[in-house]
Amino acid sequence: MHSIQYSLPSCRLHLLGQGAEDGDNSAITEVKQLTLELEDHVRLTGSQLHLEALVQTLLPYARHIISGQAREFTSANGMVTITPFHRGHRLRFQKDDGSQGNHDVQLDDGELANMVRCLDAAILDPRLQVDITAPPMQGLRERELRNRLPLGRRLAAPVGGLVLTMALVGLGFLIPVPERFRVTDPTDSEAQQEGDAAVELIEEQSLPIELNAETINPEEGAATPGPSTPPNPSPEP
Amino acid sequence: MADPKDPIQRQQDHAGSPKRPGPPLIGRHGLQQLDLLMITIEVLDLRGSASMVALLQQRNTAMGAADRVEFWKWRATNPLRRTMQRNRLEQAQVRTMVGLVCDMAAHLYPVLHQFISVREDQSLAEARWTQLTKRLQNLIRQRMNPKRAAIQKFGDDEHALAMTRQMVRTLAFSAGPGGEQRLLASLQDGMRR
Repeated sequence: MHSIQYSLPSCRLHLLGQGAEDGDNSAITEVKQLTLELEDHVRLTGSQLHLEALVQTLLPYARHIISGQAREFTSANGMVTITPFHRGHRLRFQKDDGSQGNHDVQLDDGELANMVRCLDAAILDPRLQVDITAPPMQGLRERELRNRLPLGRRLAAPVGGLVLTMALVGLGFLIPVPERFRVTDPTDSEAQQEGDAAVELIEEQSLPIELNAETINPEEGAATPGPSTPPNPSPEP
Repeated sequence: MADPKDPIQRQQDHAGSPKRPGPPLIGRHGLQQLDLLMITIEVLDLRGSASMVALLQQRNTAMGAADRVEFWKWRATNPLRRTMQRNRLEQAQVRTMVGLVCDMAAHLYPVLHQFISVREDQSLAEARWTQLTKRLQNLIRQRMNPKRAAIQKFGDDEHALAMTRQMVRTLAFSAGPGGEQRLLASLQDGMRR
């Protein structure tokens, strides 16, 4: 059996496992027992599955804390769950003694950071040759960052757009539609035709008046009076 | 066949395929956060700026010399700065800066742990937080553009204390080599649709 230990002032992760028979004496290829001690009040023990579950939950949880968006994480095998709790964190760790119970541990930021650093050290350690890697991490999507923007700022753009659209539509009603774009009823068009005919008739009636006015020749003396022109009184010789 | 060691051939290749900058690794928010984290490091450690330059020179021996001025240019891409540089950081430069912050956070981890641990004496912790916030406010007032709304908000003591707490938490959870991936991912927040 080989053992590897990662220590911080108030946290200790101890791994005990099987090493390669013909390889490096310090390497572990299969973790048999995990012991995690936090100061003097918490002592968690487990197997390689527990180590895998801790890596799957605590590292993404820490990544979300950095973004200020802490939320619950549960491992795929259900052995470890971590969730924000008051001003700290609550870790549920399945017991390794065969019972169905869980260790329920409350952690502050300092203790959690210590655990995360120990797990980081373990998965980056070339001596630990087990198939456990940190889950891939990406930037959060816009919708996952909703808490970052206050409600007023989030609503400003859609409400502003709606108000502007309504104002533009209202202004559109105030502007009169030009004649050539106005759509008229068929009855209105018949009336319009009748009106046009009346205008033509008046123009025809007024035509002789214009002709009479043009036929007046001042040199020939008095012209023949038209039907509508008053008689021109001839001056006395 | 072209000789790979021929300098003329290399020049032709370079002219034929001009180096285009890749897509930005982090956005505006990321640049702001990165610079603010470095300012927090300077507040926590009075020799933090010199330590970061020394660390940068140590890391960048392969990439080329990166002196204090070059480092300042990188940091001045923060849009909140008084004198802002509009040039875009390359991906390697961003990764170097992220690594630098994580290394410095690892150096300062005992101090960071004191700040975030609730097992410390509460009155002492409050006094420590207040002092740290004041120093951070002063440094930000010196270096950042006071016309920016984000900087004006930082004048409010309550907001400044909340921001300082978040910065210290970020540094604590991204300390060490394992923290680089976490910090870089958080700097990319909002870039993914």
